[in-house]
Amino acid sequence: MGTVSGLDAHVTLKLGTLDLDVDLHVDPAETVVVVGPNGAGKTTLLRAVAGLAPVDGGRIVLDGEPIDRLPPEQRPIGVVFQDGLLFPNMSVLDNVAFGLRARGTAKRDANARAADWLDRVGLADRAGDRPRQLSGGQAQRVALARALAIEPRILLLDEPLAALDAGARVEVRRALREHLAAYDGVRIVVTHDPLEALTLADRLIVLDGGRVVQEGSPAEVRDHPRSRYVAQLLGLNLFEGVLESNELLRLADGTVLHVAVDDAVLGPCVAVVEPAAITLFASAPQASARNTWEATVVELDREPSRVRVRVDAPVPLVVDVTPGAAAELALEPGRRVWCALKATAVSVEAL
Amino acid sequence: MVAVFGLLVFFALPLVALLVRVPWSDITDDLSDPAIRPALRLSLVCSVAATGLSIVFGIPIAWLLARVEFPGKSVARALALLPLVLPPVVGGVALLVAFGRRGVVGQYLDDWFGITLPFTMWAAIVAETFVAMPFMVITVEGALRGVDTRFEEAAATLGAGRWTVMRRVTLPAIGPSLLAGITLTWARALGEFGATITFAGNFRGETQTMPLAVYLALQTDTGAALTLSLVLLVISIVVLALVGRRVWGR
Repeated sequence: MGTVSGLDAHVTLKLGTLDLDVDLHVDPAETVVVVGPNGAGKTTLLRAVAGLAPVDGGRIVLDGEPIDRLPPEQRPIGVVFQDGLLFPNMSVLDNVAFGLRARGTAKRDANARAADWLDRVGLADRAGDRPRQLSGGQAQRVALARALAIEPRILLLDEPLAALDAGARVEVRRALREHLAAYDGVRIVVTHDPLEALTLADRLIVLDGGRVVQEGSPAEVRDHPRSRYVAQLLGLNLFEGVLESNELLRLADGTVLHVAVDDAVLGPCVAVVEPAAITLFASAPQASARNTWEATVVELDREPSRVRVRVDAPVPLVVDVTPGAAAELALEPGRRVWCALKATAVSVEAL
Repeated sequence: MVAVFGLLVFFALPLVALLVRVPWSDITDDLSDPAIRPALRLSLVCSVAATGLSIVFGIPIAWLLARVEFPGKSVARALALLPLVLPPVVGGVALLVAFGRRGVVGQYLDDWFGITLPFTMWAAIVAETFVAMPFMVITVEGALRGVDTRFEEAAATLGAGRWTVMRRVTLPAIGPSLLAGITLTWARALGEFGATITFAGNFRGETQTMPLAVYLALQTDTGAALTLSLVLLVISIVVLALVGRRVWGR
């Protein structure tokens, strides 16, 4: 162990039109989520750390030891790929045991540990199946088990939810939260999924054109986005709470949010509200919206086509209105307004 | 419909004719002819050996052509596939002037190591390999190009070295094509005539493979030639039935 623990990387490489130059420091047991528009170099950055993309320069140091000269198979790194990439010719168990076998573990021992990992991701009963017999969500959980089974010191996840449908996303997101929390190595997640970014990240890194353009806690980055892309990706109202019925979500601070959920999975969940789904009024509205709050305008962020308004309601909210509406309501910091939000505009996902 | 029927007739008719004309009454005599056993054994030994050599050398060549960029690659591919289009007898002549006792390379093999290739069983194996290996190269190269290399990358991140990746990920992924390549190569080697007779000659028990025996028999004893042909036909059909389903589906 060197004096610096965790990952300390400086990666430069040119690939086609991409010119990547990134400094990346990740502590053990820290989850860094990398977001950015297509072509920003997110996946290439992960591939460089894993040794799959040759770097032009820089260094990759893990716990004080340089690893950038090592071929991928000698780096202590587990990777979960976008579409799982389970080996189709092997059973689920053999897939999970593959890394252990390749690293010289005896077959019996490798199989026992693989079975244990399958049990941890809740798929012990699918050990003998072929990958094609699994659902997308199950396959991705197996891919997670396969990457973790080699007990890597770095876990890289490349858009692990991108290829999944909505139901499977919930399933895999839950598995990721659980297993990332239990894993004490360096974790780096590349994603396009705002919910994943906001719920998994200890720290967010925004990449654009091969450079880090913003870095900070999810709350900091969301509240002070430095680019249109980040504002759009993360500019969501996100509430964690407990679903008490299919009409009622109680937030951590006791605030009640009216929701309308068809098949409620009662218990911990996260509610997502688009900024454009909230309406502002000058006085108490007589409206069908089930959620109405009195609030104070905190900040305005003017763009040509819309004004992003941050208000202090019982919970902080981000609201998008047109410039015309902002002018009519005379919005400015300190102004008292009313907010209305239809219960049907709240989307709820179980955690 | 008529065209398909016509085609079927075109392919089936000669085989049917062969079956009709085989002297079934003499078949046990013909099959126990002392010439047939050595020829059959030699054919099997040489074709299997040629297939083995094609696996050992053909797969790495296919891998190079599919995966590695190097100068002169198109020339290399053309060379590797040339025997496909070259008349086999020309291949045999070329082998003779290369490896013959006075050949470009052969004279040194003879002088330095005392090795003489031509007109031996080894020559038959070399001739069959020369003619048949391109089938392996072309089949496996095409399959390797179709492999999704991301699976190999996934295997590498799990700690698998190049050899493990090849053995456990790449080769299984091209399994059916590999089997097809082996079958085509072996079948081509089994049927090899022109290059073999030119480079290896036609010595009973030493270089006289089945096709040569068939040809020779046809000069003197048509019935025996038909019987020998039948043996080759049966072998071919059995092999096709064994691997065809797995390789070409259904």
